[in-house]
Amino acid sequence: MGKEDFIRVDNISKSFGNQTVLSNLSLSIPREGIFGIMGLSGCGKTTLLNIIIGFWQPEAGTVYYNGLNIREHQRVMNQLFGFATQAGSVYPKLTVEENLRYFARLYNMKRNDITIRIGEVLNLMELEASRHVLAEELSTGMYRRLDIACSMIHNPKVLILDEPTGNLDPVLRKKLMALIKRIDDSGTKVIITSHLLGEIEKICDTLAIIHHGKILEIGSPDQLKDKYTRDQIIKIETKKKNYDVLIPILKKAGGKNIFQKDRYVYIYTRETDKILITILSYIKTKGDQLLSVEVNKPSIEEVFEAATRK
Amino acid sequence: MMALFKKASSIEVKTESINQNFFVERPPINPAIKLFYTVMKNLKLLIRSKFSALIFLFGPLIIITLVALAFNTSTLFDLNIATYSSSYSPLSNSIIENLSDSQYNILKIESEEECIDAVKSSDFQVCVIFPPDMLLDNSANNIVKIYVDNSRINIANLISSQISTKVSVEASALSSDLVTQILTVLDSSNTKTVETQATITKILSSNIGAQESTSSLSSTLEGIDLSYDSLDTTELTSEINSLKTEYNVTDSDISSMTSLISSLESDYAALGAKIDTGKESITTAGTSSTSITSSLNSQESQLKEANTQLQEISETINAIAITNVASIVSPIKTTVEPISAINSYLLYILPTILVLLIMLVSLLQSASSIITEKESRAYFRNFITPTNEFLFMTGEFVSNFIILVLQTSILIAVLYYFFSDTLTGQAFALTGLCLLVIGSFFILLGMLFGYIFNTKSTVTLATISAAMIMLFFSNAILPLETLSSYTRNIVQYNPFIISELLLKKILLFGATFSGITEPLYLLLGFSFAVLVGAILARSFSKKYFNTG
Repeated sequence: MGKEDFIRVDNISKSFGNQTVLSNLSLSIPREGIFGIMGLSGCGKTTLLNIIIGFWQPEAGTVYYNGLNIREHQRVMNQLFGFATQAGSVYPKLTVEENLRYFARLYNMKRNDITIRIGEVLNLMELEASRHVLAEELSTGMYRRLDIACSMIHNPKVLILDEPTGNLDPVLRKKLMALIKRIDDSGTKVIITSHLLGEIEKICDTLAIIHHGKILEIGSPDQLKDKYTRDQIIKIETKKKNYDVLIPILKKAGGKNIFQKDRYVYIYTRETDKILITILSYIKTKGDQLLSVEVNKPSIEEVFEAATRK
Repeated sequence: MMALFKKASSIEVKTESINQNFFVERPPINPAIKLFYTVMKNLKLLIRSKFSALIFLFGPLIIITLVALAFNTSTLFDLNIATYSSSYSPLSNSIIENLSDSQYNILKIESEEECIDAVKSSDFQVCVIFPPDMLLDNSANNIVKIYVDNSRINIANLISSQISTKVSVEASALSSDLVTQILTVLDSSNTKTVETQATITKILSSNIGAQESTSSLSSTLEGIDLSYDSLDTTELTSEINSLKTEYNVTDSDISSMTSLISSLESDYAALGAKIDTGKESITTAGTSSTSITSSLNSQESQLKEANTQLQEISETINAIAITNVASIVSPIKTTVEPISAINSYLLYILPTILVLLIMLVSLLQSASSIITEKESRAYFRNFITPTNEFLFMTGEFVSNFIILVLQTSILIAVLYYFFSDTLTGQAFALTGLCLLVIGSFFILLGMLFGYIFNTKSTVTLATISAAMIMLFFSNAILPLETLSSYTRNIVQYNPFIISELLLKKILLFGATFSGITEPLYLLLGFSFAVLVGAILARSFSKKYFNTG
């Protein structure tokens, strides 16, 4: 285990029935910064998070927190982790304060501490005005903030947010992301999953790409981009769309990662000029017509797509 | 925020071998505090779900009040009876009149077929067919046919039993008249026999008196001495002759004297003849007296024999032990009598109603609260807190139990309103206790279903199905006697039946606590088994809980 390993996941496997969700997955989460996990729906993100907090037991492998097996210290871990699920884990028929007070009690907090902590959390989440409002009467954004507040009521060391921006409009997403940043600034380690890669890229210090139950890439957004931006990405569309013939020609010309998506062909290459000449030559030879052509550095989404297509 | 954590850390227990900068653990708080918060949370969820609160709190009150008002009677109302006879007789009309005097509506129908059809169409509950010219004599075949709709099995037996009772009451009255007549004759004969015996006794007494008189007469007659000697005048003649010589009495005087003596001798002879005749008469009278005595002796024997026979007749009549007409007419009565002195249909059906009510409410309420909790997603957050899982189960149970206590209080209050005169305080207390035990079992069973199933619809279906199965295999719809003995042996452990038995013992038979311990402990045993099942089901449901 490296010095920076805060949470380490070692070769965990998890299946549900005949379906293997995680297979020998290993991951190291550093102590500092927001850690993001990206992956397609059903790739095992939520399962991984549930195993990290000790809710589910893997068939194989171990999760360590600060070098300690979390299964062997589950009661302590329960107090150290906060978890906000995709759907939200609050009681709609309880008020904001009642929800917080109830969960605080379950986290062994004392009455005086609870009162102080509720004030702090409500202030942080900007929910003071809604203290006595039933959770079911809150707006979607407030409901989400209450869920995070409940996850933080016991002042956890690690806050895990599973798709926190799901179902939120762009404005609320932006506000929530800012809030998550503030939580991180307050000293709580944040682990977040999201399928909105553009947003996760903005706040995460480290990103892991999970696909088919395995970690494909891990690193800072810049590291990941650097890894992929040595290549440029060329996106073309031809009139005849005879890509089965074109792609082998481009591979011979130095295209590293070439694939078709919808009407376009994407080519990752470090020899952009050579590829473009080859394309023009192909068009001329075959009597085809080039409808569009773009040359870019890949975004994090493209990094993700490229990584998951490997 | 960090300040708070630092403040808290002063009272936190630092765990050995754990980095003290991060691994701090709050000391566990009293589980009772967590339990209190869990229960309060559950109750708030229930109360704030207004429909649930309405159903679970006021449902039992409304149901039991309606049932109590509807069934708190000992009579059947608006029973329509169709009757038919090709020829009504005074006897059949009398029976009909008797039925009319009760609460029944009677209508005479034109034909037997129409009468039976009237029952089939449910216009009438009973069709009673009387034989033509029904009367009581030795040749009469007085069979009254009663037709009921056996598909309405719950009321068919009741009605047929009641009508049979009414008809047999009428028949009994008629039989009583006949037997009364016979008994009156017998009684009269007995009286006259006794009187005759008295007369005979008098005759016997007279007879004996006559016999004694005859004997006395005979003795008297025998005692009369009528013997006499013949008259000897020789000495007298000699004396006269001597006097004649001595006193020189003339011959004429002597002749005169001799004549007188001759006259005397003649009179004497006549007297002797009369005496002889008298003697002969006395002899004849004595013979007759002997004959009379003999005859009287013979009569005395005969009278004694007659008297003995009369005595035997009288003793035979007196030896009849049962002289009560009703006892002779119906030596074995078949009237349906309640096994309890309670005079209300409500109390008879109350054990079933109460168990049904508690079963449905507790089952659905607990299953519903569990599934609501599971579907709320907040269920998940409970799992990841440092709280013993059993505490949540306990919280669920206690929350439901509090509702059960409220419901039981309402039920007991309604029962008290209707039966405060009939039931004792102990019966109310035991009923309350048993309802809590019964409700606890069904709460745990509902929790088991709640943990096993994952949606409201499936859990509702499962709980209702379970309730229906328990209901069907009980006495509530069909008697258990309709089941095979093998099935019955299994079904007797149906919690519904055990619960019903508990309440019947208390409400109908006035059982004390010692009288209900066996089914009570059995139910508690079942509750424990279901609790274990619920714990396993909860662990299983956690394993497959989906947070995504």
